[in-house]
Amino acid sequence: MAKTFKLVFEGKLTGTNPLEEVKQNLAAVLKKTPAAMDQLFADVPVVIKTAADDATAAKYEAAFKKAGAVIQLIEMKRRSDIAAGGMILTNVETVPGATIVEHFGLVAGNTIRAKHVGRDIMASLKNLIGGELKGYTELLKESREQAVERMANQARQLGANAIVNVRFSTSSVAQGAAELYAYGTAVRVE
Amino acid sequence: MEQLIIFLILIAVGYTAGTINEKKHYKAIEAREQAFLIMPAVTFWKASMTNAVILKAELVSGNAVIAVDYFKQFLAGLRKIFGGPVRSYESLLDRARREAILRMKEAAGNASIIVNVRIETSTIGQSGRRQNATCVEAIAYGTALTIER
Amino acid sequence: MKYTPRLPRINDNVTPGSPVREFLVLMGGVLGLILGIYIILGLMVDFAVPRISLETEQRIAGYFSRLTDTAEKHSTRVAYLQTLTDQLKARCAPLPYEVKVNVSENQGTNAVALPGGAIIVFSGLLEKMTSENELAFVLSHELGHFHHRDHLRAMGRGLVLMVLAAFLFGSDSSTGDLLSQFIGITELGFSRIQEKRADEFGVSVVSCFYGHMTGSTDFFEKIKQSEDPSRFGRYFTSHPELEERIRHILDYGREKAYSFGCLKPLPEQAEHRIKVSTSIDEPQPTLSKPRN
Repeated sequence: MAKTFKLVFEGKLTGTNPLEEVKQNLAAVLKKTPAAMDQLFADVPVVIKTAADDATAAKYEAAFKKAGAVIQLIEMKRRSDIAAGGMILTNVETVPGATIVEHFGLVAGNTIRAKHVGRDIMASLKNLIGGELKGYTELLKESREQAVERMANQARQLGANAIVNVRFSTSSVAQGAAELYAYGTAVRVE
Repeated sequence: MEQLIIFLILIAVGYTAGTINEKKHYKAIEAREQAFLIMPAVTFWKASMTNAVILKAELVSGNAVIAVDYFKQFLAGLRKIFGGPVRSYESLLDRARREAILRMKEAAGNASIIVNVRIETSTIGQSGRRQNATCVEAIAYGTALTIER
Repeated sequence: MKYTPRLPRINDNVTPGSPVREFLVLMGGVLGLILGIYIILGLMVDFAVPRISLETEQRIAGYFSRLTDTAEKHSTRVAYLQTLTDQLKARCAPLPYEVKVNVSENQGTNAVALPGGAIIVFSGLLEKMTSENELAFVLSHELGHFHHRDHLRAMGRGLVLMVLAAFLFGSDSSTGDLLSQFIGITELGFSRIQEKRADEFGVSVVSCFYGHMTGSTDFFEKIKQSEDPSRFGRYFTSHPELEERIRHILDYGREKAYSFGCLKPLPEQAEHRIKVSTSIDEPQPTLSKPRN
């Protein structure tokens, strides 16, 4: 399976080039004005790219190294990390530490998933002795991730980069299936 | 033999009528969503109200009950044997919730924004323990605010 | 904060793709599953049935005693049928069973072989009989079921399928009901093979007993004529089946070079069957598949 990375720059240098030169190099790499580079070196980690595959991550790593800086690759192992695709999700009114500049209204993600009959039979047997139903835990997790993914997709289409006040809700139309519904307000934060 | 024929007829009728209904409903939903685009519904409330003068605040809600057709019901039953996404019910829930939100917006009259919106789903007409529901109800509620511009 | 009115272009909340395709794929899967279960079940039953001892069968038969008890016991026609069966068994069909024949007051033209060696003949069938050869064929056919132990096979399959259907689909789901009907159709194919084998056994017993096979197909000819052709479903399924059974019996007779001869009329006590009939509860055979 292809790995997904989050690319973060913490202001570290390789030490081969002086700071000013590194700034200029990076400005060329990222196609930004040298003035904007000050933000990169403001002593807080900056997310360069939220979801990059192996090839893209390697390209960035090489480019930064050539420029004289060190970029950190954080592998996103949890599916939910990838599901949200870099979208900031909160279940409070705001995104703490950022200001909401624009909002786009409601976005929602919805999913219904079932496990095959064998799992259902195993689950009913497990009811005799108790304990965790691994199959169902997995099912719920998958469903939640898919609902979040779909919600994040909707928000991305609107041009948002965060979803605030996310709520999860369930329904029970199909018995023995996990039905997850996630909704929140798509916003753009800075 | 006769039962098989009846079954095939039910499936065919369920499929054609269900598909036509769904297409029609989606068309109506999309048109109304476009029309109500000026009235946003959001899940937060404090953040948007920094220095606005609120003239009126009122609880509004909307609900919709959507029935499943025979074809979808049968398909969901089959899907439960093999596992995986129960696709036939996804559009059902999607329609019910969007319709509920639209009705909530309609109930809000000429309010500027509906804040703190919550959406719930329940099922009606579930006869047996392992039986699939035959219809789904969605309810959306929130506080409609009229803001001085 | 400003509001930007926008709508998403694509609806992610509904999985794209054709539901008809999904339906066909899933339906194919289910039919494959049923076929698999059917084949495995057939192998299991074929493995188990010869290993069930007669004592075990007698114990199973205890559960069916309700059916045999309610049927009439001491009348001349029962005595006649019993004698005929005993003669058939003694001379031409050596079976380890002690076969008991009973008559049930029921308009259906049917006879049933039950575990433990009981044959129940419906009075509706007796009324249609015109010769002893014809009756002997019906009884020999049932003896054929005992010979192949079909009554146990049918019961075993029935039980396992019932349990499986309940497990897979729940006891009260409409999907389950429909799928059990598909299972029922495959069962029909299974019982067709059984009936064919029992017919072969029947005609060989009749030929051995009377010296010729005349009368063996009379019964089927009669049902073929009396069958109501207005019910289209029935018409399509049953008629070719009856035709085929008659043809098969004749082919089998020709192959074995059985001769033809004169029919033996029914004796007096069976002729006056309506006079001696006693009204009793109609037993409803629930698990038994073998027919006539």
